[in-house]
Amino acid sequence: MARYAPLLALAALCAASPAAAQRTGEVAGRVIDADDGSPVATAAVRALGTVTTAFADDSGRFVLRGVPAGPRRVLAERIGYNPREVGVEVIAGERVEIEIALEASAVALAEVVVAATRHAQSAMESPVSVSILDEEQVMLRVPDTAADAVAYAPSVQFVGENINIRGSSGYSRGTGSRVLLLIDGAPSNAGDSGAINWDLIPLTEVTRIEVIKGAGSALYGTSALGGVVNIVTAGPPRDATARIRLRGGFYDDPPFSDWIWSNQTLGFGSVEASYGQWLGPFGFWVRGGRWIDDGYRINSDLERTNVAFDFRLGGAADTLALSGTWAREDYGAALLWCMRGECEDTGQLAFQPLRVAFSAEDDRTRSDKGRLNLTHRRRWGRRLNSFLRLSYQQNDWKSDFGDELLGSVADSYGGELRFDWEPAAWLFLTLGADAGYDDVDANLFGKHDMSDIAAYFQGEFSIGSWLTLTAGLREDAVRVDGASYSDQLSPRVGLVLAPDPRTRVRASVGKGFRAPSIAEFFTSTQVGGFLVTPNDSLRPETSLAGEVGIKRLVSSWLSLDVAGFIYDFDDLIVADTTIDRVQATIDIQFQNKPEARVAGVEVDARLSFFRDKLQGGVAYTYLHSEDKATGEPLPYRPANLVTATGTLFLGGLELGADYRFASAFEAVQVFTDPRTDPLVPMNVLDLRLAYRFGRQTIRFIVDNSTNYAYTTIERNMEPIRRYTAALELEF
Amino acid sequence: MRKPSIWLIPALGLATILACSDGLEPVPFQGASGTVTFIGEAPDSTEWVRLAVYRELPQTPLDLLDFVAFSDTLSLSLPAAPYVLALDTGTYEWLPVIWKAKDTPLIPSALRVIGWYTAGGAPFDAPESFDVTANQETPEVNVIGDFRTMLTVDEVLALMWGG
Repeated sequence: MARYAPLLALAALCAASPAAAQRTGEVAGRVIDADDGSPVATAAVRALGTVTTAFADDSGRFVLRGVPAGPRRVLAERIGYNPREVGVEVIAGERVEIEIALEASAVALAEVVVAATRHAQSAMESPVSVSILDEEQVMLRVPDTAADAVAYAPSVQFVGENINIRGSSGYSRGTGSRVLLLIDGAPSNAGDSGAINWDLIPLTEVTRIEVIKGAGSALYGTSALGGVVNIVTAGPPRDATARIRLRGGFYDDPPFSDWIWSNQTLGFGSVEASYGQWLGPFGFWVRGGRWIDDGYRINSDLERTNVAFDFRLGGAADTLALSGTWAREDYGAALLWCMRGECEDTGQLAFQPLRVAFSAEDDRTRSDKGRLNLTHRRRWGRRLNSFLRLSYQQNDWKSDFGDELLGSVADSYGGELRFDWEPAAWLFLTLGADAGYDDVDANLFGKHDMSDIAAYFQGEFSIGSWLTLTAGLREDAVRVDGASYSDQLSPRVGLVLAPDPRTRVRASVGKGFRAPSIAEFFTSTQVGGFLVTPNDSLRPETSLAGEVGIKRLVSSWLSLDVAGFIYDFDDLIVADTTIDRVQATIDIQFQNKPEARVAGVEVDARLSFFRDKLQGGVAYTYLHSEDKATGEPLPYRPANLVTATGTLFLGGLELGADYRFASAFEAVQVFTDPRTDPLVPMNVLDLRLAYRFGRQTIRFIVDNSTNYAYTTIERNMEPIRRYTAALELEF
Repeated sequence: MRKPSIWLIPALGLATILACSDGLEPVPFQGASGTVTFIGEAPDSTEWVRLAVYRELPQTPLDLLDFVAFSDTLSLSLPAAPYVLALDTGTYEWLPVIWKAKDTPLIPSALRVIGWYTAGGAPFDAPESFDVTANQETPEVNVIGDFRTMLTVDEVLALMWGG
């Protein structure tokens, strides 16, 4: 208890300052576009020197309450506009009306982010690095799932199924993700493996994706060791709105004729539709989607169905919401490409990257996933908000690998109660507790359960108009199979310096942890040449993570975000892999690696030219990873990552290109013969064209336009060139 | 600040990377291939039959486990089971067919040799070496396995070296 004393004392001190509240007033007004006077909805407005942020409504109106009396500077920010400060004289007990005109800018940095501090704030004010994809950026490349959109965020790379933020996860077939997926704030990683099921996300209703880099355990506990991806879905539309997205296309031939495996045109398509509106105090949207994909290689076909809903009752001050998603996937499970002699040979090649072994051509996986999320938000007066969440998620999958039938059913229950309290204008406190329980029954794990009970606390302190301090900690108690609680304390401190409205300097340091998933503890199976043995002595992995960064709007056409970061891991859980040449198996066991380090630098530049007719961005990340015991690089981490994007706007026409580069891994774990398993960089250029007419959009995309052949994990070739057309309709 | 200088940096970088990065390409198979023709009936106790390849002839029983590569399990349902072995360049002196019984440990004394690659094709003639050259497949390295003569490792050494 003693370790909480300083923060509790501070909280008590803040609560004991009612006199200060008497000397406050309100600042209200409108945020408008400087060019045409139209309202700028969702602009973030903040009185400097306070932590209170208000967001402009659809008419641009905002109200800042509890602003200390006296001369104040009020800052308004929104993505797509330059931030602007205005001076105002706040009078105690009165409301002052102001109008703030923002100038449009394609490179401004002021997006809204929730997940960084667990309440809405400008991304400029976040003490940790964040990348935000808004609705347009999410849909820009006609993604199949949300993963296709997240893959273009700076410092993000997918290695097989594993999302890596700053090289956090490496590769372990999705198991034990070090990135936490939140859907509207609710943890949504699978209860058995900890993997992320991207097909659960109702893509057409996503309004924003927040990628929080760095350890998020101080707020979110386990799984957030390497970052957080928060999917924010739209609320029900005010007026009756129907949306339809039709998408279809085909794969090109492989880049080399010896790799052709089918003389058919391999196609794919999907249809998604949603409808929503408010009816008095009740609002809703419902949606459904269906996908079919022939796949670009043997046994990679897929069928997917997804339905989702969001029901809301009440208004801004008191909202009850029930949302849910159910998704089914049935897909060919191509584990490894085939080597000479294992499949039909063309050209006497060492390997056929688009074929699998004859014995694996019928391997399939079918999964059903569902989630329900019940939330209640309530505003208790001007300074206190509460949030209650109850959630349930099921992950049920079966894989048929010929002789081996694998399957798992994981039921996950969660709950959370949080209070956001603003006892003084310069202080914002977040206090909460959450609990989760996973019940797993699997023929490859056995029957196991895991529970996690946690309490967390965070304070944001605004000191003058130029400094905001954040301090928080979280205590988790994790138990597996009813035994051995593992206590984990995850503190984090951060600061944001604001030397001028266009610049923010941030720094943070914190501890993180991740409890081993049930799959890492208990998997015992032999399938497809892989022999996985359990290790019930695994310990939670921990990290000490720090970063410093600076965001600056350099000019009307250039903004920069530069950050340096370092993660020191203890007991990093890795899939220790050895090849048994005699038994012809790849033996895998999850083990703790005593010490490891990932450090790096990232630069994110946004550019705009010709009165914003040409917009783009370039992000570069340098990563250094090291197993401190051996000095060797950690597997599946590239040293260099680049993402670049550019769009030319010509009336309703948009021409764009997106580029991703990742240098070849310095180390992989399984197949290391450079002749038969060459390591190559990722080097993918996508082209796109869109035409908008009213609320409708037609898009044409060429993914991997150079038909570049590459892998991110051994013996698994990434998608070849494909052409996609999409029609997005809104009524 | 002049805009073009900044814009050109990523553009040039992108062009350079696109021009210089080599992706996956077809890789010619390098190794040996052929068939294993079986004579006689495989015992009911058979767990697997495989080819093993060695740089040098065995001198001691323990050398039986010092192979360069092991083939996948050979199909016993075919009169002539095809095989491929991916190998480094060089000369390989011994290519025996190894038999293993069910429920036995993988130790030299528990294994049996039922033939090896020879010049004339007879399963237990003098071993014949074969070469693997860069980016080439050495075909027709055919072997006969005789289930009627299953030699222990000591019998193999005696046959090779006398005594």
